[in-house]
Amino acid sequence: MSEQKAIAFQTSPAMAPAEEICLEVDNLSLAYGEVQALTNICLDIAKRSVTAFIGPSGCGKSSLLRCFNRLNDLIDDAKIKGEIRLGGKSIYAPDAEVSELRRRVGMVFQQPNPFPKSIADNVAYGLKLHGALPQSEIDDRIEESLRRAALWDEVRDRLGESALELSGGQQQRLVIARAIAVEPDVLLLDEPASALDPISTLRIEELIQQLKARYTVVIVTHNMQQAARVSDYTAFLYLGELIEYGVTQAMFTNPQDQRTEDYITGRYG
Amino acid sequence: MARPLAFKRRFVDALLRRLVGVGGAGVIATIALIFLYLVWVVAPALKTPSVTEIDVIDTHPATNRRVFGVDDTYAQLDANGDLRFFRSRLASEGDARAPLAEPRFDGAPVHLGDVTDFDVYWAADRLKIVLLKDAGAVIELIEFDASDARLPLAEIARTLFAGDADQGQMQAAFEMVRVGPRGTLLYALDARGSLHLIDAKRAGGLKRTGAWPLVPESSDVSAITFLSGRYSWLVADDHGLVTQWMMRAREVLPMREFNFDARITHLAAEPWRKVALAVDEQGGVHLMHTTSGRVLAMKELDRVSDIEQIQVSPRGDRALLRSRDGQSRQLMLDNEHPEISWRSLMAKTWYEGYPQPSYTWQSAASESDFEPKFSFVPLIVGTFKAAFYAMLVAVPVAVLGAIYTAYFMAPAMRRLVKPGVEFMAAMPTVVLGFLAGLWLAPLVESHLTATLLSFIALPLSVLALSRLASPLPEASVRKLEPWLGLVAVPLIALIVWLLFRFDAPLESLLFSGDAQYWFRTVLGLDYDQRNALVVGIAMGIAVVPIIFSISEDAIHGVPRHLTSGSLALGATPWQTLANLVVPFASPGIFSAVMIGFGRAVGETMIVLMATGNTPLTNMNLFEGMRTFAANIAVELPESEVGSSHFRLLFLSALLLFVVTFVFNTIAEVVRTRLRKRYASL
Amino acid sequence: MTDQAQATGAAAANWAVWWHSGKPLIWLNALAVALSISAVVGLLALLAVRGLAYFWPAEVLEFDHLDNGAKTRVVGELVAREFTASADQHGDTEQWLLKTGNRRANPPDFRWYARAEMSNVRAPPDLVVIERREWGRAYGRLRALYEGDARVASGERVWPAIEARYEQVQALRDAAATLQSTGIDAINYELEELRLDRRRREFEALPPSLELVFRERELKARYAEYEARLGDINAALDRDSLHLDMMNDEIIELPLGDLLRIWRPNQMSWREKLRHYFVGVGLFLTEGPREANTEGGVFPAIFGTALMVMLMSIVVTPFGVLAALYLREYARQGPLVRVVRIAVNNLAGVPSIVYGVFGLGFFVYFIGGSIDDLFYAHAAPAPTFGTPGLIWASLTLALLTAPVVIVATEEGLARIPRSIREGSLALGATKAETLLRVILPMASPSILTGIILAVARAAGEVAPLMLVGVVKLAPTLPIDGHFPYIHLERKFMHLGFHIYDLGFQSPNVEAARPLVFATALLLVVVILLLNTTAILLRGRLERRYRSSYQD
Repeated sequence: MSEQKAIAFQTSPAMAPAEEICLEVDNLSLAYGEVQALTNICLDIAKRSVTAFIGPSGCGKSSLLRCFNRLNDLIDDAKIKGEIRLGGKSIYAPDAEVSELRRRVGMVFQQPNPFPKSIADNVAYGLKLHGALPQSEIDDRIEESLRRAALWDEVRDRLGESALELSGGQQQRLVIARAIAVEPDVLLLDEPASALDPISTLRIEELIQQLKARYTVVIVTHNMQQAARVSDYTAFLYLGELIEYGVTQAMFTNPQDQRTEDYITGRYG
Repeated sequence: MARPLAFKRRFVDALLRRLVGVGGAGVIATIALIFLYLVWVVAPALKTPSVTEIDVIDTHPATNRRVFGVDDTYAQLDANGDLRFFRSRLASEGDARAPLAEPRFDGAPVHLGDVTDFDVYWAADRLKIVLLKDAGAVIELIEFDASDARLPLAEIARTLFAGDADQGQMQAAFEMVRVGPRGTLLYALDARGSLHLIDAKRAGGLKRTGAWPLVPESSDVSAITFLSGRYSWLVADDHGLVTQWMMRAREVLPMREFNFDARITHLAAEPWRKVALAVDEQGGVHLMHTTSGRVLAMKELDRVSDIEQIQVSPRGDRALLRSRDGQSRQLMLDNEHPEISWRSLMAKTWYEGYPQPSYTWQSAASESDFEPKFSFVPLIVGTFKAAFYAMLVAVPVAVLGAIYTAYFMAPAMRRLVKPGVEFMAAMPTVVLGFLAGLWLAPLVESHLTATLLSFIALPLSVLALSRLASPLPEASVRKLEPWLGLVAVPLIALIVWLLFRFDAPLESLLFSGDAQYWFRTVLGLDYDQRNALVVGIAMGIAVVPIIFSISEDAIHGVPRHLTSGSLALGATPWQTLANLVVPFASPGIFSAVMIGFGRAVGETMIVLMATGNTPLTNMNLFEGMRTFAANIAVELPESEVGSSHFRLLFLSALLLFVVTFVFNTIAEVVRTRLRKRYASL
Repeated sequence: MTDQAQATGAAAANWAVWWHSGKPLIWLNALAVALSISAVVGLLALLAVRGLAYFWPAEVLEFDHLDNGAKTRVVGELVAREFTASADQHGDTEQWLLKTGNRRANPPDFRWYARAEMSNVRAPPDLVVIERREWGRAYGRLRALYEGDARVASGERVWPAIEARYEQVQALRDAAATLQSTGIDAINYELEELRLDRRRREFEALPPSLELVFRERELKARYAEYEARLGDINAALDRDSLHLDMMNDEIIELPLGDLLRIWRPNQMSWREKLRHYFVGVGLFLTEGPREANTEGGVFPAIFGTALMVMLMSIVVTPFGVLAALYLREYARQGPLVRVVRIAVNNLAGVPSIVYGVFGLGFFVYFIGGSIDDLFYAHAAPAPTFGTPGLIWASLTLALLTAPVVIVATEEGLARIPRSIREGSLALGATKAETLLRVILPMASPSILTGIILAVARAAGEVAPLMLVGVVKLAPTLPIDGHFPYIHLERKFMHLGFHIYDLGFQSPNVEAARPLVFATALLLVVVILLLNTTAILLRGRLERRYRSSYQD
């Protein structure tokens, strides 16, 4: 127990005060049919930082994440109340353009989901959607994205090969490259390392640290050490409610709520 | 800050959404369309007929006229005794407006003289005119060349006198004379209400062959009309009883009766259908269909006393009530499909020329005045019979085979057998049908004993082998079991070959020499070459893959932990199978059988080619049948659009659609539930 | 006594053990599988043996037949042997069915002979088989070759003389065929167009244009000219004739122009026989039928089947894919979609004849009739589209096979993990872009599988086609050189219907029988190939998805 805390202390980043707000969640509730998934969530997410959502499974952390790019729209009976603002504009406004929102809010899923296309085509996929670019420009962007996703060196000689040939960790980084190729403002990571081996996980975590420089990163994780290692802020959700939200270091050392403490100390399993 | 989405992207998105919406709606619409279109075609057949009074038209005073030609030709007798021929121009309005007609035979009249009654019969080469002369005392038959009607073929003019007392009894004068079917027979009605048959075929003259009283002594004939084809006629007596009489084997027999409350004053029949119109003295107009014995519609009129004559138009959509003053009322008869009623489709019906009521399907014959026989019973029985025998073959083979394949077979073999059997499902049925009709049917006919014995010998010999193998060590039997399905193939070949090789001695042994003869004489079963046995085998083969494949999936899908639990408790594989697996998978097997049955009910080509397509109403294994599907395939191309026959064929298609749809739906629902059950375990 | 009782008791117990072990029932189940396997294998073998044997140059036999004291010489191919047992005789009596050919001079062309009445059965090398344009095969010996009335060869020298002249005959025949197709048929076609034009003008109460009248006159003149030329060619073809010594020592005269193939099977080497065999198969696949379909090839039927199936695919593919996309990707997954899905599944189980009835009523009479009323009034009363034809057959079968494509496509879509769709959407792709760029390409093998299965089903389906457009002998192919090149309203021939027609409507079933087997084999092979492709494709697909997306 104390050992865990020790690790958390060591890898926590130093916090900068008074940051710019990127995403504002205002009294958000979400229901799937009869099932209430989120209740009255209010939180602000700071720009160019890493925010982690933690909580036991089924607490609604993934659902909350999927609200940020409106992926919940795909579920037929999902009902949303409240508001989310990106850069001050409501993303659920009637005139909001979902496709454009999703370009600005990239997402990486639990399972690597490369398309059955070549590595280059995977990265270029989003680029080609959003307007005609000259091939040289596209090539540059592919390289840049792959570099930022720390994958370039591994795949530079086989860009034409099928993405399905890559290993799980590589696939996940490819998916991150694909997401950042369209130059999003926010990057949502839904348990990005849960399907990976420890070494790949480590690489992803390092990558998250680098990504923070350019993007606002929101990560959902099951793994508290991971949250402690990579995030600046942490939100703890429990049964669809936001229990506690604050600077990661503070939260892990001195949780305000009993439930947070119980979770962090592993009492919820 | 937010870039608006490019117009093109938005357009493509909306376009695809629309297109897919259209595609989805298309599917729903198509399913509905098939059903609704069939209903739409069938619906008019079920409409209740009606009689409506539409108008009063100016007609010439009734003249003595007879319709006789296919194209509404009629003959009209004028006051001078001259007979002229016309072709009516207004077929659908009856022959109400006589002048609107063009003369035939250059307008040349035939002089008949002073005539009480006459009738005309027109065949390809002969025009026959029969007359009643001298106040009904003399019948005269004159024949003409049909092409110009001018020169009587002199020597054939023949006469018969009412007073010819050939049976020693005095005859009353004739009141009416008509030419019978094919012009070989004359009917004459005398004043006492007796009908005389007169043979007109022989060259020697007219010869009376018998007389039958049509009404009781106490009554008179109040009205009489001949039905189309002239094989039967309706006779009304004084008490409102209308009897249909028919001629069969030169005898006159009563067929059926219509009872009305009031005395019938007039009867008129349609020229081409078995429909007649009766007017009673209280003003009731009754529309009757004789085949089904139904009064189709009834209408009250306010005055009927001035009606002199009634006529029904050739198409049966108008009737004219002629009155003496030339102001005739016209009725509209809405009666497109008198032949169709649930009773005529499902109950035994007595047709003209038949000895007793029967279930008969006979939609067309060479004669145009033919009485159509629309009983669905032979087709229902035939459809069921074909499907029944097919299932008798297919269900045991498919279900037992599926059990073995799913549970005992070696996996390596299963990987080959499953697609192999599924290949069979893709086998065009026309190929199976042709093999059944051209190869199997003659083979079965010449080796009937061997064929029948195969059904018994194959299971028995396998059982015997199993018994013989039982002393073998358990381990080696266990090793053999997964491959038994393959091992048994040469065994089957051997047994079948032996049976067919020694068919003749077996036949003499079991059936004293001739199996077909034995079945006919001992069991009373007739034998056709293309019969239910052949269909059962061929269609059974066609249905096996469907039942096999679905049952196999159901049995194979039973979760392994269920069976391993049972095996761990010490049950043998067979016990586990019989007590656990098969009961568990039985809904799947049930739905497989349902789907297989649906397929067998609607299969067309095999039945068409492997049976004689005779609409029989029996379950005899050695005779053929006609199914709904085959009936449609045979008759629809020849059927006249919009006719009763056409609509009945559509009704059969609708029945097939509904029945298979219901069967498949039940099967599908059962299967979906089963799948959920598997998933929950 | 007690021993015996014990033994019986033990035996009975033994039987009971045997029965309760379930073994006998397992064996019975195995029998059921074996029966299914036997049926599949047996059917294919039967078709293969009978269908392929047709093209083999079988031996021609000659024997003396003694019937009531009269001795005749019989020549023919052995078709079948039958043993009939009779109770009063010793053993079986054997009967041979011989194809004696020569239907014109010596009908019937199939006869039964009792083996006991035959003697001196032999296969002399000089017997020839002649396939000709009319009257079926002829068997016999070559006697002489005449050019006009002059005898140019006799005996041994006839064979080489025929070989020498055969090429010329072939050339003349080709010339006649070309003249017929490019000359006379084209003129006929244009004359018919002009006739319709005239009708159309009459319809609009216009007199025929001068141009039309002149054109008609010109065409008629050219027609006469072509006919004369055709007459010359035919006369040249009839110039040479062959004298053939048939069975019963009758001599018949055959014009060399009628001769299609001639061979001497009894002196052919294996190699020659093989060559003959494959040439025969080739002719079967590329030639049109002759003599009420009992001779010749099945090319028009292959062509008709292929064209109909192609048109059907063009209709059914977009419809089926759109419908599947709707059910799987767009529609709200509620009870309605479930009902529709079950209904679609059930459509696959609705008897095909019902589709035929619907097609005839709705497409042919309703839609076709309306088209005729609107656009082809001048051709009335002869219907143009208001009668069964290619387009209606294709549409009917498209309806029939739509469930196959829908179900296969839906399965393919269902197999694509949800995360792929979300991945694309999360990148800002619209739904259409997701479907078109990722989902449909991924589902395309499934769609292809569906189309192949649909094609296989349509190629083997006969019952509905009998109602909506198939005929036993179509005078023209639905594609030709006349505008608009594809004639959708024409009737066409179909392999499946060809089988039905040959086997059951043919005036000479016995002569048609080998051809039915060959046609059936062709159809079955095509359909099995299609199905194998589909199954292999599906198998590969399953493996690919299993390896790359485990969830």
